Order: sequence, then structure tokens, then C-alpha cells
Amino acid sequence: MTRYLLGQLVSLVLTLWVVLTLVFLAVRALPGDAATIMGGIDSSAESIAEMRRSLGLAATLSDQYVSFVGDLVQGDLGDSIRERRPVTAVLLDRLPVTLTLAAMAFVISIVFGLALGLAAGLRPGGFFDRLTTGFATVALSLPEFWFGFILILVFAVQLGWFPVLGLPPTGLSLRSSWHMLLPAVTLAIPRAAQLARLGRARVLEERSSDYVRTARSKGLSAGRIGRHIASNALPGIVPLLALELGGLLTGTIVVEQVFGLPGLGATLLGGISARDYPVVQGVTILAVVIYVGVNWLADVTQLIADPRLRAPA
Amino acid sequence: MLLATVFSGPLGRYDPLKPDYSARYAPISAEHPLGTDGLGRDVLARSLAGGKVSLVVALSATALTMLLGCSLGVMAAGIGGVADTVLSRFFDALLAFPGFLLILLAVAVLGGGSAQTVMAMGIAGSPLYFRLARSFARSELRSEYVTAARALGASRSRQMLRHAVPNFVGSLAVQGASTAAAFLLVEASLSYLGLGVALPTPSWGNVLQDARSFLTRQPWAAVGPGLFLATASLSFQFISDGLRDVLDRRGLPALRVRAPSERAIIVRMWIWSLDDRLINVDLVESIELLEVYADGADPVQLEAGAVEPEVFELVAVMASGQETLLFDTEDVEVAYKAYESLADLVARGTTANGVPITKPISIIELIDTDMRTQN
Repeated sequence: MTRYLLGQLVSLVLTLWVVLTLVFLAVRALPGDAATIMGGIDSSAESIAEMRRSLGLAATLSDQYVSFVGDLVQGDLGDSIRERRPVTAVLLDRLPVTLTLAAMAFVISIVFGLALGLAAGLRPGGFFDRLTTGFATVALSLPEFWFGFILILVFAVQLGWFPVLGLPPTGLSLRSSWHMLLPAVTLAIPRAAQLARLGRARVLEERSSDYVRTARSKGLSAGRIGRHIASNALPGIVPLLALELGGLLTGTIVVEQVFGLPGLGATLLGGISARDYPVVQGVTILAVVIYVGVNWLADVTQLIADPRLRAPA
Repeated sequence: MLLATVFSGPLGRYDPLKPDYSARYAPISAEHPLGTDGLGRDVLARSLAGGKVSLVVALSATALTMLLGCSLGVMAAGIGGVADTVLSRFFDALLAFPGFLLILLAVAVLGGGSAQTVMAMGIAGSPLYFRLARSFARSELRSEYVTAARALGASRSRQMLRHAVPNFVGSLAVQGASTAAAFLLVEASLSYLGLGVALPTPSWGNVLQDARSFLTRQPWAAVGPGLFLATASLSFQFISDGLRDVLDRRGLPALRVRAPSERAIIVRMWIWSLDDRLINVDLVESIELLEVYADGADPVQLEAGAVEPEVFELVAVMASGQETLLFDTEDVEVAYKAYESLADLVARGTTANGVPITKPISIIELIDTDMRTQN
């Protein structure tokens, strides 16, 4: 089992390496030249060349790659071209916002999505079930940010309960979580819909299994049976939560834009438009590492949690 | 709805591109069924014209993705060997990226615009089709009629193209409709972010982007394209489901040979089910979900290492949850065992040797929805 995990770890590292190389190439391929942008249109050829040297763009591609890898291993992501400070610092600045947002959305989606899905599965074909399924399907056919609009319209504009944009000037705080509630809900809706579908499917599977039949023949009340079903249905969903996280991650890009939140997504978009290579690189690397890591973690957790799945041979 | 967008050019009374400053932010009225936007352009007209653009982008991206993925997948299956491994690893690496991020970066690298968006989506979606096509092709290649064709002297490519491929085109189409729905939403997000279709050409996404800035003054500008998007996306999903139903009814008969055996056989399967249970290859690889012991092999002995099990890896394609289409093995006992365990899986949730299974959920479905919901 340890050998298996080690093997997984190795392939994880390899995948990361390939991915990072791709990121390196992709970022260098972005059209536009950072030095020219920073120097301004009128700067002379010498000052642009000077700038390129200082930004490390003058070296050959392979040289750049070598220093890229070297820096990466040391945890150095380079300096942001636009802000002239280490990318790591920039990322750390924006990370809390995105993390809070993601965490809130994660919790909301699990609580509502799973609850709805499980409840719907317990009474299949019923009104509640059809309502939930219908809602889930529609929710997954609409673009994520559209819900943001609706929520803004209803809650922020008409009812005035929430502010429309951004965070309070004091930055992250308890009050800011209120500000983040709408974006978190927006982010959560598609995941909740997906989780509802999954939960429902799992419950339906469980319902046809032996122990349910036994329980029912023993005359257990529907509530008790429901609880048994739910607790058995849940473990199967764990690895899929990992994928939800992936969706959450990329969802923040758009949601932050809609709500004007200064998080990692906004950083990425800003970096792209300003041709700020190190920032784009940094955010992408962070995102990919998180994504790949979370998937790997999900695999491992499932192995650990369910010893039946550890196969001989 | 399709018709409306296709003919939106001649239908629209108002030029979706021309601003009309006298009529800014007009509310819903008979003249402007969805009101006007910040530049006085009729929202409905823009939505319709945008629909044309969005649909074209989404559909061409789907076509590109399928073409790219499937052709490479079929090739990989046909050629095998180093090329196969290289291609597989490459697409695995692509899959390591969260989908939307990949597309975002690709569009950024290529520069914004519709053509680039199509290309980016095409590339990002291809690993899925690569895998599907490859496993289908591999599975088909082992089947009897292909062997028969080979015996008759058909060349390798002929076998593949004329005999094998037509059998799984339908299933791929089912997946394709689903992907089209997803791409529609991805395009909307990209255009919303300003990276997709460039203004002033409307597309559902960038009309929404416009709408964002004056959301408070003209809420209907956002609702319109949104509804269109939803309808289109839903229609594609229905098409996908409908195709699936049609294919299901044509389901092929299952293996019915029953062979007693003394061999200890372990079967690991990659399963594709038209019942929306497409099981991720990775998930199966990392968690050996199905272990099947043939009659005559004592599980205890196996545990103790006294008997050396034969391990087979198969591709199985299922339809309607109960019958198998194909196993890519010629060993009848193995195939029978695989079939039996699948029937078990479906009916009881346990394998033949009593190990309960947590039925894995379709990862491909998730990847699909992932791309859809990640915007």
C-alpha cells in the first residue's frame, strides 16, 4: 500500500513538472511585450532593452527555463512586473479573499446540495424530487455568473440587504463575510446542483441494496432507514468533492470579476491583461498545484477510508 | 429557438450594432421587447444576433474537439506502441489542468477573439474524446467481425475505418451534444471576461458583460441573453439524452456463454455505460473496483498467495445498464466473469465474492459538468 502511494506521489510530481513546463511556455507565448508596456510607448529602444534585461527577459528561452526551475524549487516565483514586488507577496495578499470565498461556497454547496439531493433521493418521483432535479438541471445550464446578476438584482438592488460590490475598506473581517455571502452563494449554486444530483443518485443506489430491504422488512421507520441510507451514501461522494473543489477554484475567477472582489481570480485576469508574466505564472502554478494536489488527496483518502478498496495483486 | 437565431439577421428590425442614443435604457415595451442597452441598442436584437455567434462558436468548438480527440484516439488505438503511450501521457497531462483555466490561458496566449476561442476550447476538450475514442477503438478491434475482416485480408486502416468506427460513432455523438452544451457556457464566460468574442460583435457572453455595467438601470439586458443561453444549453442536453435513448434501444446482446473454470481470474475493467455511468479510467486504475474470482479459485488461497491469479484488463462498454456491448478479450471465461460482475454491480452493488462496491460516479460526466459550471 505504501508502495502504491509512493508510486502515486511520483506520478504526481511528474505531472506537476510537465504542467509547470507547459505553464512556462504558455506564459512566454502571451502576445505583447511586458517591457514595452511598462516602459511606455515613447521610450527609446535602449531603455526598453534595459528593462528587458532587468526583467530577465533578455536571456534565451532555455536559460530562462533553467532559472525558472531553479527559482521554483526555492519557492521563488519571481517579481511582479507591474507591482515590482515578489509574486509570492502578491499572491499572499489576495489569497485570503479567495480562500474565504471558496470555503464559504464549499460549505454552502455541501450543506444545501447534499441535503437536497439526499432528501430528494429518499422519496424518488415525488414532488420534492422532481423539483430538486429540475432545479439542478436548470442551474447547470446557466452560466455561473448569471446567478450573480440575479442575486445582485434581487438582494442588493431591490432589497438593499447587501452591498453591490467589493469588500468594506477595512478589508477582511467579520463584516466582510457578509459582503461575501452573495458571491459565495453564486459560486456555490452549480456545485450544489451537482452535489444534489450525485447525492440523489447515491441514495437511489443504496435504496435497492439488501440491508435496506432487511431493514424495511424488520419494520424500521422510514426515518431510521433514511439515516442509514444517508450515512452509507456519503462516503462514495468524497472523491468527487475533490473535483468540486477544482470547479470552485476556476469559478472564483469569474465570480470575483462579477462582484469586484480583490482575490486571486482578479489577480490572474489583471495579470493577463497587463502581460505580467510572473503573476500569471504564479497564479496558474498555485491553481494547478492545488488542483492536482487535491485530486491526489482525494484518491488517497478514499484508499485510507475504505480498506476494502486496497486490492491484493 | 435555433431558427430564430439563424435568421436573426433579416428578422431583427433594429441593427444590433448601431447605437440609438435617443432610446437609451428604455424599459420593456412593445417596440423593444427586452428594452435597450446603454448605447440604445435593442437587447433582443443583440441577443438574437449574439445567439448566432455563440452557437457557431460552441458548435465549431465541439466539432473541432471531437475531430481532434477522436482521430488521435483512433490512431493511437490502431498504431499502439510508443506513439500510443506518448499521446496518452500528453493528454493525461492536459487533463491535470482544471478545464476552464486551461481554456482561459489558451485564449490568452492566442489572443482574444472568436476563432481563438474555438481553438482553445477544441484543444481543451480533446483529451476526453481521445480517451473515449481510443478505448472504443481498442475494444472494437478485438471483436469478431474485425478479426473476420482481417482474415479476409483487409488492411489495418480499412478494418478500423470501415468496420470498427461506425459502431461507436453514435455513442460519441451522445457525448458530443453534452459537450456542446458545456462549450456554450464556457464561451459565455470567456466573452463575459472580455477574452472571447470581441465587441461590438455580440455574443451571449459579452452582451452580459455589457449588461453588468448598467445592471441597476436596465436589469432586463441581463435576463434576456441568460434565458437564451439556458434554453440553448438545455436543448443540447435534451438532444444528448434523446440520442442516448435511441442508441440504447438498439443495444447489443450480452454474452451468454457459461463456462466453469479452474482458473483464478482477476478482471479490472474500464467501463463505459450509456446509462451515464462513464467511469474514469484513472479512478478504476487507482482503486481496483472489480475483482472477480472465477469458480474454482478459493479467495483464501488467493489471499495467501498460494494461487497465482491471472490479471486481465478489459474495456467494457455497457448499454442500458444491464447488457454489455463488448469486451475486448477473446477469453470467454474472462468475458463471462466480467459480464457476471457487471450484472452484479448493477443489480446488487456487490461483486461475486461479496465485496460491496461504492459505485463510482461518472467522472467524465463531472468533467463535462465541470467545464459547464466552472465558468
